[in-house]
Amino acid sequence: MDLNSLFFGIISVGSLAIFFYLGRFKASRKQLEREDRIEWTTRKFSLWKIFIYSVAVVSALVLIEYLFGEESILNDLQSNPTREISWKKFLYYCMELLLD
Amino acid sequence: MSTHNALQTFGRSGNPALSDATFSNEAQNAYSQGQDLGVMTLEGTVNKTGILLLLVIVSASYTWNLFFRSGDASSVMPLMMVGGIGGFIIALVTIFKKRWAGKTAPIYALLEGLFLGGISAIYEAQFQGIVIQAIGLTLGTLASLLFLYKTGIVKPTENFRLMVVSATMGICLLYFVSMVMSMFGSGIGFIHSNGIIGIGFSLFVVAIASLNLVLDFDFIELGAEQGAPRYMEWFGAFSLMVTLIWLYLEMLRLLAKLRSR
Repeated sequence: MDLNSLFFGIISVGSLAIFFYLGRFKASRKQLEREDRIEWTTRKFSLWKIFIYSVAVVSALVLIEYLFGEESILNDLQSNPTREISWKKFLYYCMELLLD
Repeated sequence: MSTHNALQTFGRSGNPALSDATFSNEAQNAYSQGQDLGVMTLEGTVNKTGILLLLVIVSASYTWNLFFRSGDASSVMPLMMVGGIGGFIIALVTIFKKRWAGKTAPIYALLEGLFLGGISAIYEAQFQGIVIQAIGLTLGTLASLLFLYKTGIVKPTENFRLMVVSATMGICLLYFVSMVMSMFGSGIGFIHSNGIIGIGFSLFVVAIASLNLVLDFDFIELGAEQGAPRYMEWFGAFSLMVTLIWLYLEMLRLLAKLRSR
């Protein structure tokens, strides 16, 4: 048994032991007796809001790839500083990414 | 699908297996039918999670051994497909028929184990030692987050839940689009790349999967508080397994990306 297996094996067994031990106890009063606890019986957010936030997450990921990816516009600007970033190019880049 | 039905199905937990009406509805159903099923307890849920973990390991070891005996991925592919697709179908059945969780959850565990064993063996053949690392990190994450939840250091609030659910759905959306595009010979590059962005994306997904565990703990805690029927222990264990399996697969992908650089 190599060191890698031994180390992560111990972590696995230890973690399972912690889970089986801690899992039996109720959460602390700090967790259960607070005002901002989730009210499961009421609907606070609509599905549309969740969907919009999800689309925002996807858009943020695409934007990060656009700005910092291997073929990013910033790398492009470093080699060609006179190029401008435009919304047209951003949209074109998104389409390229999807169709690549 | 109306807002009411969708929220009942998907609820506010990031895990589609858990909905905000799950426990109160089930408690009412059992009570109205005059059934004395005992009540859900934390200890019972933990024990059943252990049983499901054991079943996953048993079936995973079968496909694992099959792969290494034959040395060929094609020998395990049919079993992996049966496990993956069958597991997905059983999961849907369990979500919509919670009373059957005592029977469907173990079947789910066995089927998913077939899939996990095969995919783990394929990764292990490429990157030796990766599977034990992924297992260690997954279980370590589980124990850490359980500790943080129980002690009240991490407190799930409505906004926390909104963020986690939205991020989870965003990731599902990305994976779905990537899957559809792959049928046409294309794909979303940064999901699978081992560059900085690809690794950053995997880290993000691992973080979201981990935070889903917190939501699951809170939901199971509520079930025990509200005195849900005993069979909801199986359902709680099933929902934890769904998240754990997702987390494990993402850990495997992340480690593979790091090792392939």
